[in-house]
Amino acid sequence: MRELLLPVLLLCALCRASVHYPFEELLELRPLERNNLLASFDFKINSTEFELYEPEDKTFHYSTFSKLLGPILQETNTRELHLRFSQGWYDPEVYGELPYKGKHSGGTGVELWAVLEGQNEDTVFKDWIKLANSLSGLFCASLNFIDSSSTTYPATVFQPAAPMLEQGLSLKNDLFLLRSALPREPVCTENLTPFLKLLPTKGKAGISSLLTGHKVFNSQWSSMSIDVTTHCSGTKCHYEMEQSINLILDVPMTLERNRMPIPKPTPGSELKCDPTKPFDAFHCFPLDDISELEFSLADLFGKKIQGGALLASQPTKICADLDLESWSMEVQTDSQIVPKIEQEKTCFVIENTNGHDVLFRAKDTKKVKSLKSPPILASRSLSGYSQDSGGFRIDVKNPTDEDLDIIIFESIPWFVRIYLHTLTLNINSTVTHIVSDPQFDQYVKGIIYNPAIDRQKPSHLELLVGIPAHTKIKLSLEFDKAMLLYAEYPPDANHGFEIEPAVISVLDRNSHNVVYEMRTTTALLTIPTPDFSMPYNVIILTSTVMSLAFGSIFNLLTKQTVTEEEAESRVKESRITRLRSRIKERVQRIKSLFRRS
Amino acid sequence: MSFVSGDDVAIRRRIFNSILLLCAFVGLPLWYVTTSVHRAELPAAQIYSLSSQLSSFVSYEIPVYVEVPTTASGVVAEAQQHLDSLLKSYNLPISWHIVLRTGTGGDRDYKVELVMDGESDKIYVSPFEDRKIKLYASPTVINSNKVADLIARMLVQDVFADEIQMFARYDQPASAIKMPYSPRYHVTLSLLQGGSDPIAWDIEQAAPLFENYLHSLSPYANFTLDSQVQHYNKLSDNIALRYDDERKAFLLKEADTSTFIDYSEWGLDQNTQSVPVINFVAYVPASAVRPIIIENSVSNSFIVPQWGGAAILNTDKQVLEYGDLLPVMEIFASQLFQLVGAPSKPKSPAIRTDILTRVQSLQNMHKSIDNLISLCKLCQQLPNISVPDSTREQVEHAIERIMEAAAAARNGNWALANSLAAKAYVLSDKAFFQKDMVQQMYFPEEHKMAVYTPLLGPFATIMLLGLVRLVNEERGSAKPKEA
Repeated sequence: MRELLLPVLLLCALCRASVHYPFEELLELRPLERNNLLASFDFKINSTEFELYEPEDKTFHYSTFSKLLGPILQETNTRELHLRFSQGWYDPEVYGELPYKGKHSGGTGVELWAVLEGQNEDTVFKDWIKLANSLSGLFCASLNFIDSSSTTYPATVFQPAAPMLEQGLSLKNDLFLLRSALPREPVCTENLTPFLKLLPTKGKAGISSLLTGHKVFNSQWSSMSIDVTTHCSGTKCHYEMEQSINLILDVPMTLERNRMPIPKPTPGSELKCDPTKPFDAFHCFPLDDISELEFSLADLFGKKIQGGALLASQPTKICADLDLESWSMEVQTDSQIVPKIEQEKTCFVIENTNGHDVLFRAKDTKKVKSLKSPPILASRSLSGYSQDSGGFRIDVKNPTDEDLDIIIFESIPWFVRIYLHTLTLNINSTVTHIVSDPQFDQYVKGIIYNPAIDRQKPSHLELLVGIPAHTKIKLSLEFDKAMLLYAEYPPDANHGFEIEPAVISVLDRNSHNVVYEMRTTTALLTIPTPDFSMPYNVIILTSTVMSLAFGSIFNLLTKQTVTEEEAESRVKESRITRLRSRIKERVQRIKSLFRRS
Repeated sequence: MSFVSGDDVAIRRRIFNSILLLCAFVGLPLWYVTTSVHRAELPAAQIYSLSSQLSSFVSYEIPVYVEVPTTASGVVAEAQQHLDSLLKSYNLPISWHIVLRTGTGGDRDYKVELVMDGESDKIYVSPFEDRKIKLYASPTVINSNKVADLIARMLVQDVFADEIQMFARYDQPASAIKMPYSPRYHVTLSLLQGGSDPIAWDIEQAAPLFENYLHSLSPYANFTLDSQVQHYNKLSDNIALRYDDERKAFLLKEADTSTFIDYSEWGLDQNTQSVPVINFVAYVPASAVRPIIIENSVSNSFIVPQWGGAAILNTDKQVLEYGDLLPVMEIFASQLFQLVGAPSKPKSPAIRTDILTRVQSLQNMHKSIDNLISLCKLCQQLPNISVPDSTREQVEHAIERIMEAAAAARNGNWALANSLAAKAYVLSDKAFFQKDMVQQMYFPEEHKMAVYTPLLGPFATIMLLGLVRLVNEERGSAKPKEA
């Protein structure tokens, strides 16, 4: 056995450099229906070993795990960190189930949850704010707006992902799970740049060299995620970080943008008309579905892959999940590379620093590998139209053949005052149960509810719901809108307030682990907004009223009261009456003069 | 004929007067107090007197133990006289003295050992922690009885020469290289590879060497250390390397060293720590541009003022061993001493740190008083700025710390003096950059008048008209009496 191994090692020493770091990267491409393409970038990084409780001045040596992130985690006693940046709308009917079963996808905007170790809630909360502020600086995101009024302590979802610290290591303090989301945050290039900086390849080599801001954020939907977990064996621990970017690109649209950055109408000669409908020189029903496509990674991302990540422990790997009947894949580089089939996927690795490009050809793009449909479909909307109240409505559909247990997690800002007694359940648009009905408990098996405290805490609601197979349920909830203080309104208050997405997790019925996770869209709630010159108006109006009151009271107190006769006689005596009579006399005299002449 | 009785007018006059008084003594002050900004009283007089008297109440006395044979005990007293007269000629702005004592002294004291059989006059300063100074006196000096003079001259002109100079210009801005003082620093050692070839270093072995240097600087400030390895740090395009055929190397112009480090691309500009970071970069050029030699640099390294240092490592090794890293660590250590502003003499790191600590303590006191004076001036110049109570407390605490630091310096506890002075500096900084002070006020003074005119205008008019009427009535009531 040994003799066999030795040459393999030697061979490997020749083909690849001998220094390797705990880093792996994988790019997976998968054509979807309607000419969409899912690109999943996945990076795995391990840190060097350290001891969990070390004096502050202990020297830490960083290699692939970024030195930018390490001190933040150490300083705030963060044992697990999850950060999501997402934008766009994921349409499960077209794109199928979420990549990685929703494990790496977040709701629109920024989402952060972390497991922190600390003695009590206060110290942990301070660390949490410190963590959010540090990450805010690192990722150029407004995470610094996270405060107690947007932080929840989830009870059944977002549970620690890593079975950390179980292996013989006793924790000195308790672990706390905190979560917050900023649905208003626009995710943009300035978030991608620091994301790439955390990678040992820094976007200069390997698959990360494909990622540029204007291409990533031109996608239909994108989600960036960072997950850091602590793993310990004995007293030695290390961080494991997984960074991933999932994108859905509309291929024809991306190609069109390369050809014409400013969209122009298609000239008549290039227009393909629908032959089933009447068409001539003036009439045309354009046929928009393209079934033949030929594109390369450089077309989609604007760049080739700039060689492999040589420092990685596994060579850079690129896989495509293609229906080989109508799709073909060709690697374009200096040397000949023939992709291999691995687990039904077409894969190849990059082991040098030369540029690599991949060319895809499709005879019929409609033929793609059948999509896995998501186990749950859900949407949330706002109901009601008044200025002072409204309602949430959550529609959940179980399209599968099995009964499902799901958890609906909601964190609702304090100014949306929800009334739990108004919670009603509607099954298949036929039967309606209110919360006090005994039948209600057959479906909603558990409710965790932490009511909001004004300006301090959001409402936190977790519903454990059982949905029978092929059933649609509708949950509705009413709320009142609270008035905010003058200074609490954000700039552009008339735009409305984003209510963060509801998180819906599907549980395994036996182990109660989360097997699928999805998020609804953000809800935009309008709240009565005052006229912001109001304080000045109030002051001025009050002042006027006060001076009016003062004037009348003052006059009442200081003016002399006289009888009517007295007043009249006084008027006769007054200077003005005398002056008036004198003027009258003069006028009379002048008039008589005129008359005479 | 009169309708007005004297009593009636008197009552109304009293009513008017009471309303006037109420407005003047209750209304106006109430309005003023509720609409004006809070300004805490700062101890300005104390700060100004502290500033003028700083040089008089801070004094440094440095004990130096001289070991002499019992026969020559008079030498010490004589040397002290020489010292005093020598120091007088420097005319230092503060009181700074060397006090000679006979005896062997403790571990941490300065000790001068006289070696009488030296061939020539020379001085040897131990490079270890023991602060030992060996003074070799040549026979000519001994014979002409000038040993005392030699001790005094060597101490003032050699061992403590830099300290005297530093104290002489303590209130001038520090050199451009020196990192701004902070009670805590973080040091990062980075190994940067210019290309894509994987590289590693045995930093676990080499780091303790550097930690020793950091430890020797601990009286000055607290230092923490970490290290990182990074790849793909390409040289920026504006660096023009010239290939020298003779030396078979790429030459880097000295002027280009200032732009050599590409802070944003190399990810060295971001600091997620709350303390200032001193960066040391070991740069391994990509194989295409190797070796790089900096013109006019023996060690192939350079300092980036107030940021850190860099050394270029021309190696094709994949793993840098302890032996490869040793010279680099030495370069970084010497750069570190320069970056914290330590004197170049004497050789002993312990004495250099002592000198640095003493000078820094005075500078911190000086700087915190400067900060406080600026704060007072700011408050005087901007009558609308709010001064919260927390600012006043911080100012008071800062003053207390300065006094304590001065006392510690007088007692010869320089490390304590420095840490107290640093606290004073941090407090004075906090007081000056108080968030609540710079905040925009709810509305400025002019707006205040404009907004309240609807209240004050009618009030004033009504009162004025009432007054006119009352005066008229007084006249009216006075006339009939005459008639």
